[in-house]
Amino acid sequence: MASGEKGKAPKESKVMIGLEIHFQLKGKKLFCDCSTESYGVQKTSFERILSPTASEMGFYDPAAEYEKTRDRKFRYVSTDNSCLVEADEEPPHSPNEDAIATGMMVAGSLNCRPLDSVMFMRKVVVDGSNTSGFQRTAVVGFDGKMETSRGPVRISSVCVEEDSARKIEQDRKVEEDVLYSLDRLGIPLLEIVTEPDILDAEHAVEVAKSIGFIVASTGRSRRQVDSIRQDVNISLGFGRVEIKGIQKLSLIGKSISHEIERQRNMRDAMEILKKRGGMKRPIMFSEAGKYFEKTESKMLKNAFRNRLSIYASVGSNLDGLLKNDQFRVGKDLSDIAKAFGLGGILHTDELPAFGITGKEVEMAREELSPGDEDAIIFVIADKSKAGKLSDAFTSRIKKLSSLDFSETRGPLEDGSTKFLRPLPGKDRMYPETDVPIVQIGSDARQRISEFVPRSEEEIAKDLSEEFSISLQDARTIASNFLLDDFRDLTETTKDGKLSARIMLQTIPEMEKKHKASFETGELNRLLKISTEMGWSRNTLENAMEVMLTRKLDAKQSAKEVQEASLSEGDLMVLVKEIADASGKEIKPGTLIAMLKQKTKKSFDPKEAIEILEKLK
Amino acid sequence: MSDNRESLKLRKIRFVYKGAEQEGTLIHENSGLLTIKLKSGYNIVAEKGAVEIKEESLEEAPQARSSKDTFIGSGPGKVTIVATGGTISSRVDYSTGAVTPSNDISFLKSTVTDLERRFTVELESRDNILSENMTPEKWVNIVRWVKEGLKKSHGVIVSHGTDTMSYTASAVSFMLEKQSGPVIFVGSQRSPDRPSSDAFTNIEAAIHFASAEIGDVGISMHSGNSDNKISLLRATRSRKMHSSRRDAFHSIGEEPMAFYSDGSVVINRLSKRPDDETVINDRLDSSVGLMYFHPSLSPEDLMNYSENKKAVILMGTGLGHAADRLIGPIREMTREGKQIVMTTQCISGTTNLNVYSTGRKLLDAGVLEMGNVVPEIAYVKAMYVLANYDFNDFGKIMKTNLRGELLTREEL
Repeated sequence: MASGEKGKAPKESKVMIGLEIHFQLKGKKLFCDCSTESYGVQKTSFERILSPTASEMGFYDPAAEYEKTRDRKFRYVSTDNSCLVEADEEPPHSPNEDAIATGMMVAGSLNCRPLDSVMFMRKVVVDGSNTSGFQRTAVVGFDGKMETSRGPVRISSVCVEEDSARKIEQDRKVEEDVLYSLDRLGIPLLEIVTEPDILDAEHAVEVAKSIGFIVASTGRSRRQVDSIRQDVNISLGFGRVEIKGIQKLSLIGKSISHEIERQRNMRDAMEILKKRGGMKRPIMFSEAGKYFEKTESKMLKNAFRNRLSIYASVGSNLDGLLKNDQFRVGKDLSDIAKAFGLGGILHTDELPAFGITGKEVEMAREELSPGDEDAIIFVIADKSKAGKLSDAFTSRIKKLSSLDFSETRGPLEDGSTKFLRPLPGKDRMYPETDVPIVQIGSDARQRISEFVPRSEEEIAKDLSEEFSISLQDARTIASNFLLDDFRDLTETTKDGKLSARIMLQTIPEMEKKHKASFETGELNRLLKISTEMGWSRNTLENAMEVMLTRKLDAKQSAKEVQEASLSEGDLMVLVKEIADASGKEIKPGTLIAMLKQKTKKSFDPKEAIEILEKLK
Repeated sequence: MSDNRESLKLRKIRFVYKGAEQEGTLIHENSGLLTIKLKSGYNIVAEKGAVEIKEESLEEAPQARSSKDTFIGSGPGKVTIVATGGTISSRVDYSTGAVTPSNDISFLKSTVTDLERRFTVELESRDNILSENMTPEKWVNIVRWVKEGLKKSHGVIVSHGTDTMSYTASAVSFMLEKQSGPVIFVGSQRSPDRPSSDAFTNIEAAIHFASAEIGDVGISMHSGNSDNKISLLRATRSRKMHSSRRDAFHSIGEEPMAFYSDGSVVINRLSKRPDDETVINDRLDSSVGLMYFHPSLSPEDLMNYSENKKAVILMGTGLGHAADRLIGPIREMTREGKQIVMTTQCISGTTNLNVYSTGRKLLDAGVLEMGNVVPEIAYVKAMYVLANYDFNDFGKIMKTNLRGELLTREEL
């Protein structure tokens, strides 16, 4: 909450930054016997409606209530690694004790006070990302502290919770129509929350990394594209803003500076609004379609065809604040409109534009008889949504003008953020009655107390020695938390150097080049085939490229590559032919070029050169 | 819970646990363990001895949204809801941490689309028991409440726990000689304190079914895993076929009577039209047993179990068989005047005692074969027949289709 409740306007204070970092754990899911890994097989789909419920104190959570005003239905698709539990068709099984122990190890390393009993709570989340309508979460340790290069950072809590469902499809135009996959739902997640002791973006990255090494040292962390997610809490004195789900450490800095600038500009805009006398009339959208009957605007014509209309309202004292060089109140309102499944808003700070003429705007404007400093806001919607939006915009402007900016925002690629929903309160928590309280036994306590986290350099050194890879590669693997995946990969390839190359070069380069990503299960199968068949690195990389670009499964990719590559015998025949014709002193480069002229099939250049050497 | 909401006081405490001092709300104390709600919303559980309470004060809990309204809406469709308990009206009990029954169904207001304009729903909280605690005596109470409901409303909804809902619904169906409107049983597999509860859509559908021109007793539950389609199953062909899924209820051997989706009812198969009045025969004779044949079932077990019963429904194997060793004792019992009724533990499909020699021996021993009547429904029907018909007519009436419980043909 902003501190402006007692009639005093909040003032900008020192920036306070806190982090909530999430790490997925691998193995079994938290409340069932499903694996955390999926082969990407989608099974059946179903549709659900969620309704917010009161917490044990009898209150409703503001974030949940907000989602309810949006009439959303959610679709889900089950996967090979989901069962009735994820589909909310069976009560949760007993919690995964391994995940709880891992959480306690991390809590211990962060000097938290460990709990003797762990009680799971339901955190109400009705944006559809949990089929149950809540996320199961439990505190395992609290009140910790970590040392950093710039002083201590307090740890509020370490929690073990279940991960949410993964959004796989969202109709851009109908934001409420979301398809979720159940593959990620229920994966154990460690949540580490710091107090707002972080000084700036650089410090935030340091804290995130140090915590990351502790988690990596447990050997239980899972590293996939979105297995580590950070939420950043920022406060400048205008209420807490939570930026949810920043995937890259590098985006933390950008997000923080963007957010500080956004809040300062918003405060300036609201101060101007206040000087003008504040919002004198509420937002009240009325039908304005008649002024646009002969419009040439494609956007409007399209809307009319879809039985929508254009609605207009006075934006009291908002002229010039909706959009100019500094102010973006229009974008803020637009985010709200989008959350209601609309395309956004139009307003007089940017019109005429989009094929809408000044004359059309003027006609609509006159009807509303606005004051000199009023803006006109338009939305394309149906009647019911326009009505809901009137209320939503009015309360939004009221909240902003009281300099209460607290809310949950989502990160965008460029470091800016968009409105997601109101900040959830403590009222979204109530006990998970289907799961008994877990007592931490003496065996588990022993295991937990024996855990000693390792530093980045120690981890890298061990890795380099164990797998005979370069210290450089080992450091990269350690600092990117790829340790466990590297071990898993080497289990398959039986070759540390090859694993390092595939992980650090081949995969990222191919994914970047083809703007696509590998499906873990299939890639693993391909690597298995490669190991069994004793493929050269070249053949393997060819197969990987085929898999990625042509979206084939492991077997098909292997078949394609084997058909398209020269057998060792054929290669020998060709090399011999060239050597006979051009002499054995032919340069390797020339040999390869000549081979490529002779055959369209692929071959391993290294192998060809070795054959030539043998011929000498 | 809802009854003491108004006087709910929160026990705010300042306490030291594991060396850290914090504030919280003491939720409850149970066998030496304290449950404390932290400011973050999380509950922690700690041994009483490990917590040092420094300060305690009682704070008025802000008024929770709770309603005692018994009428909702002002539309033309008049529906009475008879609440009897079960998951559908369960709430979390924060003193024990378990789900227990409650009578507050005010959630309907916000969850049923268009309810206020289309319907007038009256809630009667009649009982508050879990499904497993239902008894034939309580079925009789329910049919009486149903009759009263049908006097003032077009249709009646009975909210009920799912575990034994098919038993109760079919008992009500048998006891209703005539019914002036639909009687719809409704339950849920996920309690309404969960955002994902199926209660909301099951009741919404039940309200619509209860306003249709149907003169039958049905069960309104999910058709599948999705919230977008609800089936109305004939009570006397229904069975709970899964312990936890939303689509647990199936109609055995026939399609659902109707479906509800997108705000309207679609009749799937013709059902009985409502009668002009409601007449009940509210008598049941509960000296009926239901026994599952299993490979080690001994003659003694069967005889002991049957001792004080007038009729025993056997769930035989396959087409309706039981071991040779039981044929003698069965003959003895039928000679003494007991009714031994054969159903199939396959649940789906009919009995046929003419196909194998064991079957013919059982018939010869006096077994009454029930065809494709679902075993649990045969058990309920026997109670009704024993109480309301001449004992000599037992066999004849059991083999007569009274409420749709017996299918004379099953389609492929």
